[in-house]
Amino acid sequence: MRPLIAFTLLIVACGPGSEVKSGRDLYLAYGCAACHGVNADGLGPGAGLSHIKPRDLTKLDAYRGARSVEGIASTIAFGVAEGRTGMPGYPDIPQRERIAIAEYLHALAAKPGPARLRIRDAWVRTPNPAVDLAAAFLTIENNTSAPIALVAVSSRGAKIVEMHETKTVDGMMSMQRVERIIVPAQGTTTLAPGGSHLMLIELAQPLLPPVELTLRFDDDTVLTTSAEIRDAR
Amino acid sequence: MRVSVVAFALLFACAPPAKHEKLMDIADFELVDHDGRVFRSASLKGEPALLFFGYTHCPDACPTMMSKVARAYREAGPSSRTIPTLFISVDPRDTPPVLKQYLGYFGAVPAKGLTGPKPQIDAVVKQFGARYEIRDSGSAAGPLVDHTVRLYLLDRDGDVVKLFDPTVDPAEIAKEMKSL
Repeated sequence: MRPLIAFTLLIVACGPGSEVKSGRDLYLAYGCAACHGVNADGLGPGAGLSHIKPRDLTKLDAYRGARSVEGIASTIAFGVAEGRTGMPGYPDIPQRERIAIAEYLHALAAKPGPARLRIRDAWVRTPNPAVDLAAAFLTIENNTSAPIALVAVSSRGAKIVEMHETKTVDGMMSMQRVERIIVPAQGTTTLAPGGSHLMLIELAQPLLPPVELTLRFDDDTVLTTSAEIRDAR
Repeated sequence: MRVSVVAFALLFACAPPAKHEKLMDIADFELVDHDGRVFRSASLKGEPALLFFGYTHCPDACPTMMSKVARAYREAGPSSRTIPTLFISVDPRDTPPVLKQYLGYFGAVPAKGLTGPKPQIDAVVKQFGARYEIRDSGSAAGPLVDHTVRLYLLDRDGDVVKLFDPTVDPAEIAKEMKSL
């Protein structure tokens, strides 16, 4: 029986009309779409079966593993970090085909399109020399179909960065320290004077532009942006 | 009809500008200025003034309002510099030297920082119908102060004739400063 299968495979692999299958064909043939979806967007029929959401493979920055063609091929072979995510290894897929699938995904993900998350218009208000504080403002753009939360910010320009929200409580302006700032699905959140801000505490002396801000989100995405120092007097 | 409207408009235009209505009668008060000297509100009589309650650690609302005030002075021109801005701190951390340094940063504003013992501050706050509450915020920056954010315009008698909220356009502050 086994020789027969091997023979059949040989025919399939080498026979006329069976030229090299495209990466996409292989992606579908090996059932990757069951979890990752026919469009590789993470929305396969099996997506709901695991408590870990399959990756949207069309977004390069969503990859847990390496992002090069070789790296993706290796992830297909060995999975991601021994089950730390739902991605198992498929060592039985021949290397040549793993590379073809990886090339297909890499090309798909590297296609220019709106970034999942984008930080823009970041600026820091010139610190008043009397206080060791400065407020920073920016806009976060969420181009994904799920809300995302900013959970931590750090900067080389300050020892501590907190997230603050302005509320009007009983007619008084009240600054509340918050643990997360939500950016709605397909939406933007703007931190601006009179609203929310990032509070830079214990500033680098002197604080020099551009001030680098590193933002961490609840899906572990980390983005860095450069903020100008703006004299708002 | 049109003639009478024009005549009426002319009458109106030529009449002396309507005096601002007093919104609050303010009794004289005494505080300490940013040079550590006694400040008496009576010393302002004869000149209008702007007045604001805030604190130097204020992360956003106070610098935003002070920036607007600075723009209003620039817009109102050099003659407006006879109108002082009184910045009354509601935070005991704000000693006179801290206030002086803080306000020196807003060079366009002829500002006077005022502080004093809490009962005196509270009495002034009450007169102006303002409120504040010092709150342990869990912030590394120390306590945060919830406070009403309003800019008051005082007439030459030291009474409140105009209130501006935090969304005010600096041009409007400038216009009102020039009208006094």
